[in-house]
Amino acid sequence: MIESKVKEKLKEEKVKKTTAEADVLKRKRKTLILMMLPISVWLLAVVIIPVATMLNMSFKQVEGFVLKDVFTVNNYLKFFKVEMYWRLFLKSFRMAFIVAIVAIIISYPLAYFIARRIKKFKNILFMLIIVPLWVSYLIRIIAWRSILGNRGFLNVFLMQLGIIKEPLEIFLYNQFAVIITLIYIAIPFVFIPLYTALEKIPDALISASRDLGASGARTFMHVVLPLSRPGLVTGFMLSFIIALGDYIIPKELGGVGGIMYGNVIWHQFGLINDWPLGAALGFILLTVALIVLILSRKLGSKEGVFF
Amino acid sequence: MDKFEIELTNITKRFGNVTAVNNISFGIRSGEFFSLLGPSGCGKTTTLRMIAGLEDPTLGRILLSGKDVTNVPPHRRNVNTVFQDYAIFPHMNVYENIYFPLRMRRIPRKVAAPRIKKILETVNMSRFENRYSGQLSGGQRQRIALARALVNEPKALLLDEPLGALDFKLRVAMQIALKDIQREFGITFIYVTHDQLEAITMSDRIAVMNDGIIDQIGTPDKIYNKPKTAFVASFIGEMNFLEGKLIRKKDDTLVVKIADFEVICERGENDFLEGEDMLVCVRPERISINSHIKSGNEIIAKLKRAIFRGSKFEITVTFNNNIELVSTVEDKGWNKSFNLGENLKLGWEKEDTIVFPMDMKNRIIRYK
Repeated sequence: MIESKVKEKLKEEKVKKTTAEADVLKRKRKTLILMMLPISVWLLAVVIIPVATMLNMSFKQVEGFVLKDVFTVNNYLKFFKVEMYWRLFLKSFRMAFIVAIVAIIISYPLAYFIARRIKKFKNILFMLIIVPLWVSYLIRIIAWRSILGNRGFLNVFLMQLGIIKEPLEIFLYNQFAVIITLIYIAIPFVFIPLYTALEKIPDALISASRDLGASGARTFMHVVLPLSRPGLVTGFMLSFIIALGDYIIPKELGGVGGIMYGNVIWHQFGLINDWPLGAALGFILLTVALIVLILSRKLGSKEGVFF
Repeated sequence: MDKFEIELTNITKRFGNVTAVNNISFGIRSGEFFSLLGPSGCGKTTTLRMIAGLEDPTLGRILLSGKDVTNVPPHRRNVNTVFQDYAIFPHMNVYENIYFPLRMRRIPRKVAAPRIKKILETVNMSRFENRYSGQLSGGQRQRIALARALVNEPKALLLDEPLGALDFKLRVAMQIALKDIQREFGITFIYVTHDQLEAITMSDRIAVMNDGIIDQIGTPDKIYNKPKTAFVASFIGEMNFLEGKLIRKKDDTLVVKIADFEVICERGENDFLEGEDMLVCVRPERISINSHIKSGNEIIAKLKRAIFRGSKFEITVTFNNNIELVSTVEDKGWNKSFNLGENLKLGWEKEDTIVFPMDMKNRIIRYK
């Protein structure tokens, strides 16, 4: 008799416990959903819907001036069949790669010195590199026309030195101008993650390395460089992706020889009026950029993928 | 005079206007466990870093094994450092960390392997070869830092407060382990600490530093029982400080008047003048309470406070209304039935009285 009563009581307690637990879980889930709502709405509006729209568009077809509501992969096939498209993509890929590498070569010593060697004016120097980002992108690009042009800073400088007699036209409206300007734009985006990574390296590690027998150069190779890898990878990834799809710089400074993949996409939404093709070409660019991002994370950008 | 393994001569270090180390000179013998002891900011870490080569002295010379290394960079000096926060390379596993100094000496992996294995065994970390710094506890990281610094068999090992971050029981265990390793390897240890108990436990000799200068160098016994300055007396162990006036100088004793009492002490090498103000010191554990045996010095004072400290009682008494004296007695030696305000007789021997000139008063450290 008592045994069964005890068993009943235990069951009661168990049920009470599980319903109480379930209530707590339910409340937690509600709170979680509420907290996720704003970011989900934002993601939906700013990222998912536009990309989905673009994807949807890429499977349609244009005949004359009419958008036909069909499903076709023709636009994607065009990318591979028409030489201009995939060639231009490879060219942009190559250029973006050069831009990223050179931007790193320039930014690394800069970041290293300011992060690790300068004590007094650290903040000012850091700001000096960041402040140009506050100036309009277009204006900074057009400034390079003034630098590279016939009456620009570079030509005047060379003429004053007596190296050339007449202004050279080879600096502007070509691939060279595009690459130079892209590098200039990329530098702050490489500098910031590199600076962050280099600054975080504790001085004690450097002391330990030197104490254990490594000279300055070997300390750099074996300790500083490996530890700055997350910053390097993030910097490379950011500058590469920025350079890959850019179309304004080629438009303003590229002339004919400096045209890039971004321009071709842009044309589809202008005069040519082939939005589906533009969407398909754009989606291909997006996919490649995503692959580069994923590869970068794998290669060691564990922290600081987005700064 | 035996040859010193490490010798510092007139070393001064200035950072801008601040003089961190002020003209110190001393020598350390081979195989010695030598400690630099002092409060924060006394210059002990700076001195250690100068021996390592991580700081350049402003003035003076440093000799290692007879060679002038003052201008030699750290990676070419045959001394290694164990840092306070261990400084384990986070991007290498334990094995690579320990291989690092050998690699810098261009010793190939195959040759290095047995040495690495052996040192890991010595510090009891053989199972942890493939772990990374983030996967180790504080004590484990400390042992790896030690192994890494020892694997190259340096002439001297420099340790910068290596046990500071460990909890008490682990610290005590590591103190013993470190001392064992030092004896086994026979390597000179230069140990920086602010913990006077630690220094006394482990060292062959201690240099007590304060404000950039060395107050005294000696064995733990000498430092404890025969401190040369009031600072050393106050920094090591517990010490009572009383103020009085020298009223009589005899052949082998000095008589100092403190309030209504006369205290005698042994006359040392110091020359004091009659009428001079003096600091009179005696260790709490040397003071007995209500002893049946007559002591050289006896004072009657009122019981102010009795604190239980586990194995001992800490008894505070007052006389003359405001002068305090502390005595520590064994648990058995204290009659707990005493009332506050009751008169007690405190006694100690004249050999246990230490005196200093009054101008040393401002160098006493009041906290530890």
